Amino acid sequence: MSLSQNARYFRNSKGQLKIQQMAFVLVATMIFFAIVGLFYFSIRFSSLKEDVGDLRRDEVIETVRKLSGSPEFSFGSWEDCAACVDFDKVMALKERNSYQNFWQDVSLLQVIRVYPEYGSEECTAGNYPNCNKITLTEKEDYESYEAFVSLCRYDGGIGFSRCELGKIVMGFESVENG
Amino acid sequence: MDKIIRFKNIGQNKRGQEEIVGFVLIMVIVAVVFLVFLGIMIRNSGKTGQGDSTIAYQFLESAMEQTTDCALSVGGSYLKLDELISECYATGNNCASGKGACLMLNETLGEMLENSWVVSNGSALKGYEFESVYSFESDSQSDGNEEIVRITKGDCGGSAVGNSYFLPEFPGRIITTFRMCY
Repeated sequence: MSLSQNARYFRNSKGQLKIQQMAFVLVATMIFFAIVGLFYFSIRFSSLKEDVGDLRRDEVIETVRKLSGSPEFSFGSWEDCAACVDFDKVMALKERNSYQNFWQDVSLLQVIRVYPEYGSEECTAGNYPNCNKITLTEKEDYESYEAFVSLCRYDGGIGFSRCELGKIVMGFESVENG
Repeated sequence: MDKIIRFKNIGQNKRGQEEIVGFVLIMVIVAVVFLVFLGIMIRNSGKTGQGDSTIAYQFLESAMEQTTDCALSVGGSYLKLDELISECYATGNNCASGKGACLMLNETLGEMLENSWVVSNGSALKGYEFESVYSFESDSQSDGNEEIVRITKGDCGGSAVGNSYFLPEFPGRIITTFRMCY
């Protein structure tokens, strides 16, 4: 090989080496950013499932609370109180035979007084209103959700309506994950 | 001549390899620094975050409707909790029973919170904070907050969720906040 041919050969080799280096750098950079991106998204979205669960739970709790606005539960005397439940009406509902099958799609439906608490647990015709809980329906195997409401009733002792802090508890059939 | 050229090539290849090793080293250092930074960022956002809580708002809204044992006059109607908070702030008068409105407020709230939220070593709830504050903003920059009642229990150092409920109290408003700490 002549000198000029040699020089040309080595210049081309040098160029090819540079191109190879650049190609390697580009591939390595892409792989690097891909790995970094994978790390970032896996950490960032690791709590996504939990967040979805929390949102669904909030939605169910809101749905439970909306029950206080249904005709069977709503307290008509105070129109500006959407979360007021008529405790007298609920007690009457418990006694009505025509409403026994009304709650068949629900595994648990209870109205519980939180404050103040009285001695007796379950309300009956004998101990009402000095009791803490009215159970409209209760079956087995459920997942329950509760929402705070205001339990209102007419108090003959003071001659006015009295409202107390309570909860509506609803239970739905638990679905086993396969 | 060929030997010289070959020697030169080896030198160039070695230099190329050195460059590649240097580049890889820099990438590894940048990746480690980035991961450390990401870890610190995520840890800090978890610690100080406070989210809105639906159940906290429901609790506040329902609690405000609670009929208290305070009537301003004998035979008069009993105040609801929100009215009692306003009364405690505005006048601090005594109830018909002789007890002060603010004292009645503290007692009623304390018992209500005890019954509603269980705070213990084994419970998920580590603590709670209930606070009612009168807030006033004006054009003359004389705005401020005045605490009406504050009840806390347990430890609220970690993450918390809560919500606020607003009551009108001319010329400002009363902001009642409830936070649950986990």
